[in-house]
Amino acid sequence: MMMPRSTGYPAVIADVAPVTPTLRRFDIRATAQPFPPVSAGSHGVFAFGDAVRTWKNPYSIVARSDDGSMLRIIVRLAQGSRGGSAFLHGQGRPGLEITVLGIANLFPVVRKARRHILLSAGVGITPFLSYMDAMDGMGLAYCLHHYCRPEERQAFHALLADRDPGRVVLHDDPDTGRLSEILAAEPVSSRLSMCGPDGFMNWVGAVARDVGFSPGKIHSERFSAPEGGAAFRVDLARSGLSVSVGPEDTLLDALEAAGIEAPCLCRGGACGACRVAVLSGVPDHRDHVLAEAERAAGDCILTCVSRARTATLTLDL
Amino acid sequence: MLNASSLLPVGPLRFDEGGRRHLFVRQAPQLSVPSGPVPTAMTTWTVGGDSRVLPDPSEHEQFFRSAAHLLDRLAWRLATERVGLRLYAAGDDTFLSAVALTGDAAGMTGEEMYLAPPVQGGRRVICIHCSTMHDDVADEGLSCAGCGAVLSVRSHYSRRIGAYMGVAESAPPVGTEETGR
Ligand code: FES
Repeated sequence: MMMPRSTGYPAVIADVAPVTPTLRRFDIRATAQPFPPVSAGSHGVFAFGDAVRTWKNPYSIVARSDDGSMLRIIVRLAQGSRGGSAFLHGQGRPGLEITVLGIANLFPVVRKARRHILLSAGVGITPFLSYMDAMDGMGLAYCLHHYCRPEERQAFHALLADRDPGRVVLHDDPDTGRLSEILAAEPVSSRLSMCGPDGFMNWVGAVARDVGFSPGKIHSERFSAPEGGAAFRVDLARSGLSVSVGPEDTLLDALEAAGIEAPCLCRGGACGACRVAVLSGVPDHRDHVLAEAERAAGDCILTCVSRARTATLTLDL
Repeated sequence: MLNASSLLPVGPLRFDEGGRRHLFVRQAPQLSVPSGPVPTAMTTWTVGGDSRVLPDPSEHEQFFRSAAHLLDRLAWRLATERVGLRLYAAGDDTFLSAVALTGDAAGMTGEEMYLAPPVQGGRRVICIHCSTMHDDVADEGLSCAGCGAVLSVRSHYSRRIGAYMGVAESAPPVGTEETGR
């Protein structure tokens, strides 16, 4: 993080606009110092809430104004969610205070590649909005293929209206044959970047490997929205404390609320910074970082998204 | 000049199943093709060409009069190539580094280019089974031009004969069979 998380960048929501029925755009204005420079593909961790609770959620930064006074994000309302995104959709009106706890980039543009093919679905388009601005500036060749539902087509068309029509293609039908043709026609120099729901990325990844994309030329960003689950308790071996994690809390939130200095960066299961050793109990892994063998070993946990299969976990904290 | 291949990752060549089209470029016809099942979409480009070595009829092979000629064509081919190509190269330091530079310039990565350990200058090799002499053998193995045996070149150099020993991989230990035909 570029700022200690106790301080961050104080800000307020300046403007809200719907993008689709489930996506909402928020412009956030710094109220003290300007936001730091933001490279394409960055996400911020945003803290907001009400008297009852605070959320700290990661969102891709779509754009930053040149003077650093504004950041733009797009937030998706997950079905049935009672989490932070639902709060922003319901209560996120101009004037609502939001603190930008920090900004990091886990999904930078591969600058040395001259040609990029970008594939997104739903809210996964957000990092590519900043990618396309950066690539236009750097003179890199790219093409975005965005997948959406037929009823969202108009909305995404409007969102992309000011882009070069030769470089953006909307699809409302995930046709494997068509995707395979698109990917196989890419030049040998092409890099593939993808962002979207797990099922979408698994699909694109499989088709890409099938046409011969080497694994190192397939880039992805996988954030998990922390989802609730059964309550559990963690016993902390070093400090001797016990902390309860409620059904709607993340383990990381609960640790922080108990005053534990727990490591973290992305808060979305994407970076691995929050990894903590598990001494007993069985973790319920929900991240995109650990390898299969590490999951099976069950001796570590990423506290920002993962939970427990057993009623208690003992952590090396 | 910098010895570029000392910085290049090299290793025994094996076909990469992740590829959809495979191009093997080699500096001499004796250099052996990558191991593993030969993919259908496989092309070999060879510098020189040697009537003693018959190209496998199932392979598509093209011959080039010089390494420069081959490298020129390679740059052009890569500029128009689509995703899914894997490139393999065998030859000496200079050749391998030139291939790697050409691949890099075309936007290929180390995962898509495979380089065999660089060969030293050619050696003189005698087939211990039929005594046929082979000049300028750049690889660790060859097909004997006399008896057709697949020979591997031993590190043993005979001062008397003035050549390295080429021994059939499946042959019984040297000395237990008759040499010559
Ligand atoms: S903070 Fe990044 S994976 Fe948990």
